[in-house]
Amino acid sequence: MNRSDHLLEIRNLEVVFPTREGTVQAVRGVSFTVDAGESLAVVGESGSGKSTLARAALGLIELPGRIAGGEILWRGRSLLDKRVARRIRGREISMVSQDPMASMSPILTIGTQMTEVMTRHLDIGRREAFTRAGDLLEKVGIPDPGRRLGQYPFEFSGGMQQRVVIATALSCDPMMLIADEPTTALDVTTQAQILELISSLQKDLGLALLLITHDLGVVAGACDLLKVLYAGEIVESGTADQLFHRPHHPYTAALLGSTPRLDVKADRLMAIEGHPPDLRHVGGGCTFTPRCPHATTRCASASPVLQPSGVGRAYACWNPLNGLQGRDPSHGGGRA
Amino acid sequence: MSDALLEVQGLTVKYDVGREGFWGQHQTRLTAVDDVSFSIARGETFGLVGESGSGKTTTGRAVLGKVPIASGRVMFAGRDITGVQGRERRAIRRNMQLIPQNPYGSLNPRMKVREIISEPLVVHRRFKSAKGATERVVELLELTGMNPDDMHKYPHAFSGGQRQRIVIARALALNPDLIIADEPVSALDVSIQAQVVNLLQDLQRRFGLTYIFIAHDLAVVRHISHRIGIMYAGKLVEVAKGESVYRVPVHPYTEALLSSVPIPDPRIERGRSVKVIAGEPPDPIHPPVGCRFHTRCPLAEPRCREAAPPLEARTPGHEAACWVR
Repeated sequence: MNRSDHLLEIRNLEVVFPTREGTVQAVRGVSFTVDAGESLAVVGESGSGKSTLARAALGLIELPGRIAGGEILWRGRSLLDKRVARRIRGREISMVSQDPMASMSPILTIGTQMTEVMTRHLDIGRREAFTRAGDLLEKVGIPDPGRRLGQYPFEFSGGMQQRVVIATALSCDPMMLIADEPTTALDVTTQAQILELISSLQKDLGLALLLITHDLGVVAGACDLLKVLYAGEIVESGTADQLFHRPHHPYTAALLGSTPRLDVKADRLMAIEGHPPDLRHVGGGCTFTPRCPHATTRCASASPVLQPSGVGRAYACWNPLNGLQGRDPSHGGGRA
Repeated sequence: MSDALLEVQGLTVKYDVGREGFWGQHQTRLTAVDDVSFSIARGETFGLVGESGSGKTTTGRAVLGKVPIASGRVMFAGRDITGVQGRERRAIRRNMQLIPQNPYGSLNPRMKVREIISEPLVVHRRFKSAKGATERVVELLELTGMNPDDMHKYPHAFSGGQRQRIVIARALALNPDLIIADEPVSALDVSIQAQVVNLLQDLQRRFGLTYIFIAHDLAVVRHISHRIGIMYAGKLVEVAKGESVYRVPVHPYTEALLSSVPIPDPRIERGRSVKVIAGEPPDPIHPPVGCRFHTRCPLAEPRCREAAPPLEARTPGHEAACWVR
């Protein structure tokens, strides 16, 4: 058993996926912790490794993928042990993913699926679990829970399905909820409803929340702490306020500049030229170098390590920005 | 209006979606677009926003003549093109191109980029073959920020953003006046999305293109559009300049929609009260009588349940369809 004072602690995690064209290094040396009641967001684009990270935290990396190094500790116990992971998953840590239909069986009623989770993990009978399922549906804002429990997933709209998934995730009183793009498939008015639900449940139940998303807007309202992931590495971390207002890493700044805002009319968006690197062939140096406006020769040859700067704040960059000075005010993303 | 490139008047589109009744004697029809009118000036970007099922994509397809129009008219460059088919439609299509959402589905994986981009040129008899059009293909690839050597590759060699550039190059091949872009950047990552949005804006400035930009993402639409139309359950509920829609929304749905969009700024998000609207859009086969939004509207009055409010001008250039406001 390892010692850890945190709820979840990830140390130097490396996840690889061997393919015919080479080994993809999806997560490269990621470390972070989540404490009880904390809300943490991991932001990244496609291929940044954010979903792999979420799955790893649940012990759900499947072949051919494999954890090549590092440690995942849940209250001091290693989640790399499949038996430990199986007991904890769904009970102490639960997950809400992007596609609610993929989390449910189409041929079983909602009631059957919800009670199955509870009778498996908790020491209660079917009848009690069924009553509890009804209470949970009510809690997540589904009207007429008694009738709804007898229905199948297809009889629910996308937003309602996601509510059912959330209710199921909460059914065993977990300590942490991992939400992987929970609102990406939903319309914006439904997204607002679901985000509000997740936030209020997190506060009311004192849950730790690990939110995985590509959407900076979603993060701003939902989480206090933020990690920015690029090409499988954390490039910057800190509080949401710090990162949104004084980003140190040029990638964080560029991500903010390329996000169109409803409240500020910019003439031009600050696009990040080029594409993310191919994770089968990662060389030395900072992976953002080819796209970085501040890159120097040093960046291409030596990899910057994530170094702390103040309490709870860290960045991995040789030429950090001090804040918004690094952003050209004539370009998009400038504040009005 | 002489400077309008496109005028849509009372457009209604219905889809047959099965049969009802004991003997299946009644055709069930879904009204996807209901009495929608708007006009677009040359060189303008008209953003069409709405949630799933609001009818925004169908409106775009009706303009292109890809779905039968139940009633209403579509005027293009002063000419009525409603229901025009065959050779005449092909001639119109030269001036009207579509950029679809999914750059993975819209490029034939068995065709090389040169064939893909030159296809419209060959179909419309500008060139005899893909080879003959090489010079034009090179020009189009350069315009869209691609490498001319890319024309010898197949689509699988490209990322989503690059594929969308190829789709844009193909859409530009015939020098169209109007481009209907249906969620052109929704499938892309935000950094790549910004590249494509900037490209579309550059091309518009250069060639005086007119865009219908269909999207569900209000922030992107506001960024790129001169004027915005908001759709809800097949109805156009508000049309105005981007600035006015954002600053002084009239329709309660517009207001709710704007309020639902998260702002990427934690300080603003904390201080903001989101007006979460309860419920979901109505069943499109049996829409509510009266205003379509009355079932969810916080301001609904008895008259809202009786008749649908018409789209009327509130201030010059700002139209809305609401009885209460």
